[in-house]
Amino acid sequence: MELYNDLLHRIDTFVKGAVDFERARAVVPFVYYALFFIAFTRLEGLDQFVKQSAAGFDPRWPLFWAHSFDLPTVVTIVYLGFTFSTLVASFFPYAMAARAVAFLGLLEFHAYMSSFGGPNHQWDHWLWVLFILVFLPPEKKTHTDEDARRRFSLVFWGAQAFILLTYTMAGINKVFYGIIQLVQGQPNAFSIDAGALHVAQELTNMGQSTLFGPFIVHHPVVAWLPFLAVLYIQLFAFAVAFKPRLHRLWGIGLVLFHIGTFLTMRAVFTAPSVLLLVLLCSSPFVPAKNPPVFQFFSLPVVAGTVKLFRRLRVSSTSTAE
Amino acid sequence: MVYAQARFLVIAFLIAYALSGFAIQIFFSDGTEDVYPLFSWSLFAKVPNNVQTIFEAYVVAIQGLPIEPVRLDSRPDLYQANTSGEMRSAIQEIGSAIVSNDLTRAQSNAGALAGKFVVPTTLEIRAEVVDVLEHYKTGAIRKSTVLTQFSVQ
Repeated sequence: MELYNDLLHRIDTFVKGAVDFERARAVVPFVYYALFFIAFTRLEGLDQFVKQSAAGFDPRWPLFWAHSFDLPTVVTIVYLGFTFSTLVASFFPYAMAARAVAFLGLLEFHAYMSSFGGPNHQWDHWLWVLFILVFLPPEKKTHTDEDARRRFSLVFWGAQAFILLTYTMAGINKVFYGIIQLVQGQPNAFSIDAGALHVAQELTNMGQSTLFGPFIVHHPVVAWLPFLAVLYIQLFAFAVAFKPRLHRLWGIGLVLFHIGTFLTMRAVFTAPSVLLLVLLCSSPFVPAKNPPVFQFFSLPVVAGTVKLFRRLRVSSTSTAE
Repeated sequence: MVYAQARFLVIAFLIAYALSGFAIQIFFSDGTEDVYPLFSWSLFAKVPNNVQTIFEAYVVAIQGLPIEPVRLDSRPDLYQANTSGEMRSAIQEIGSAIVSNDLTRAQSNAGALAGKFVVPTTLEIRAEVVDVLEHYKTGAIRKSTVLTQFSVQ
């Protein structure tokens, strides 16, 4: 309970509904502009997508209507729906109905992309963030109601926290299995060749090469520290949601992580990278004065260590008195 | 709704999402990692073992004439452009299906290769035990076993 209250208190220190509201309000349209751009560029390949074979097409539940049409019609509806729904939300970003339409457009697209075997997880962040943003308070209320402005900031923070939470979940999984593999004497997340093994396996499975993949396989030690850095960034991502000073740093760190995995393993996570830039690198909660030294002392583990030393110092001083 | 209630709902949503993600992993022992649209975010969680079994396709005959076996991916002239990815995943499926005695799945994946070759080609699917790092660097194979042979066009 103490932890829960502490978290609430932390949120309240930066979700004020003041300047942060104005900034969050300014950023929201860019979420939809970015998604519209992505959706529109997807239309470039529509003539190819409609020709693809229906073999293996097993529609997910949001595409319950797909059985009534042939695949080219389904593809056309989904891609056009995705593009126009995001266009509507780009034009009316503060209208709840328009944001809900964009969410539905993306839900259909996400379901389609996930209907050929396993889901396509690079769209998960967008899907849930758009779901959260539907609940931004109406424009009318934010003009007159201070509480509505604060709720606007809070919903925006919820979207940021969600995206960071997913990375922490990934980090927990890596550390959890890392410890199990370590105990079992297998190669694990902390091994020097962990990154190289991932790269070699992916490249072997794909039968393709990447720009830096072969270099990592030949020099596993080069990927070791970046791999450990990724573990740190992922594991503590959710904690950073409560440390606005670090929002921009974590945003760029996670984008660099996605660029790194693409250049070594061809893991395509381009869509969430845009979202990370818009939500975190443009975070409305970053303090106006945010020098690197303050950011350093806010880093997870560093901040905890400093706090611990302070407590020890205080207790030793009071004991001496 | 007031700010305090909204704050509770946001936190509850985040906790519910995280718990459902971890619950999927715990309660689905068959390796399921998602219950659409929820996901456990278990991406590249386990580091692969050095020594693994991989599946490769070799061309052993073209138009009925036997040739010295060569890896299929070294003969892209034999199949249609832009199908190498599809072909690679079909080969992995065929290999793992045969190893797990699922002949129906193996046949269905072999059937998916039909129509993708420009000439009648006989393929051999082999299970190869490799050290992934060593294999990627030098192509070394520790042990190779022929799983099946079939013709496609």
